[in-house]
Amino acid sequence: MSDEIQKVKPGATFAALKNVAGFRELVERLVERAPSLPNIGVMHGRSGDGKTYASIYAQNKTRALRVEVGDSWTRKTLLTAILREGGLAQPKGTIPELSEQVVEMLAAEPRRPLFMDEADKIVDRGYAEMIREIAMQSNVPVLLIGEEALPQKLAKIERLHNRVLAWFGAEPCDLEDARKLANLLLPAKISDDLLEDIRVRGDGRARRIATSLDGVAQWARSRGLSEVTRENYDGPIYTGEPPKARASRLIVQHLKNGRTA
Amino acid sequence: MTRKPIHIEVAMPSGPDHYWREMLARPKGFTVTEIALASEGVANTTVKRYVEFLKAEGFVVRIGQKRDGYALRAIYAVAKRVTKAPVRRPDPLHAPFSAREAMWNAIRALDQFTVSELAVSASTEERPVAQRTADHYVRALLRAGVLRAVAEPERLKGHGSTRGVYRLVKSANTGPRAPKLCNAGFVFDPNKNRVLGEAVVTEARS
Repeated sequence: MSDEIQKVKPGATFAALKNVAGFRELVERLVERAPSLPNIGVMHGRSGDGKTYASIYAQNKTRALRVEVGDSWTRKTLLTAILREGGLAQPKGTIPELSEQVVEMLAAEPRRPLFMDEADKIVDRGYAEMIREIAMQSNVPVLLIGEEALPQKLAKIERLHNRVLAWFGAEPCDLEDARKLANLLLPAKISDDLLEDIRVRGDGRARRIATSLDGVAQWARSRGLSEVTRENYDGPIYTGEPPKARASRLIVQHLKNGRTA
Repeated sequence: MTRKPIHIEVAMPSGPDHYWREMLARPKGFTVTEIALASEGVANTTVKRYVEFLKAEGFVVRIGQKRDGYALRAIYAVAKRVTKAPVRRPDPLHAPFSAREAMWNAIRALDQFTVSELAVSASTEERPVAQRTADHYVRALLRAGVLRAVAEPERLKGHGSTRGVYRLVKSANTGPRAPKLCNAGFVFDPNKNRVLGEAVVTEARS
């Protein structure tokens, strides 16, 4: 229930962000590949780099099925989750039966991709071979999305590694990307130097930049400003770092001087 | 002079209805160009696409061809004479996601979100999601207990407001199909606390 409906440009999408566009291209390449080529694609990147934004966008473009793998998942939970995403309410059966159902369901629509977010968990728990099996038998594009180390983890499983058609590493946001994010999420004008500050201190992570921009938007709104620069902005910039250990001596000193820290 | 309302059916000289009528009016066969010329402001390819569809569905058949200058034009004839123009309805299973479905996908994927973030992340070029649409959906889902506010929107006294941040309640993440907003229309008898007649539920349009 937002009290004010923000006037952000109509028809604004994340499409222009480099990572979103890059992932979209990867999906496109897999969908349009020759049927004999391998059908797995991998997107890897740090947390907060905008992998989720990219996958939502691509999902809504291609009607992909998307599952987000949980920490505690087993083979069976994964298969059940895929079937549920495909519209089966109560999947039942043994693991081989479920896997057969998954292949059947996916193969019915050969151009509809399957996204697996947090795919490193599948590798960590040691059932990545199952992905290869599903991918090979159904021949639909399968996109694995995961952390920075996902390619190295996959390299250890040679048979799966061989089925990967293309890799895409999510990049940290550059100023251009930050500017696009600001255009999308911030109704006020923001100067380049402040934006660069926000980007660098947020480590180029889209999530942190978006959080900072939200703070800037609120700051500007409460002061009725339509332009924010480094000179006039004294609000918070989100760095995602945990608070530093406080120096107790300093606090005590401050207190001695009659000030609270 | 009194004005008497009269009812006249007006058909725009384009669209499947019009093409189909023109086709039915040519029992000896027609070419794509003929139909396009008999329509108003219609590209040849539009009619061609429609004819291809009709051919695939068996409503028209190709009966021959004729020379038109250097071009060779196919002649078609209507094979199944139905009164209503056949049209292709999008198959709900293969149709692109609606705005609500796209938002539902985004809600399920994002840890937490503001209304504007939801609108932007659910948007694609073909089907942008307006802020208002997102706001409306979020409000309805909040009321139904599907979403929970992580941070309530606040009106600061004379200092603008803060945005609400929301997240999906874990147990409400029941599956890929987006919750529908519905209106219920019924007659209620407060004396006996019951609904009189049938309750009609329709899906709300936003």
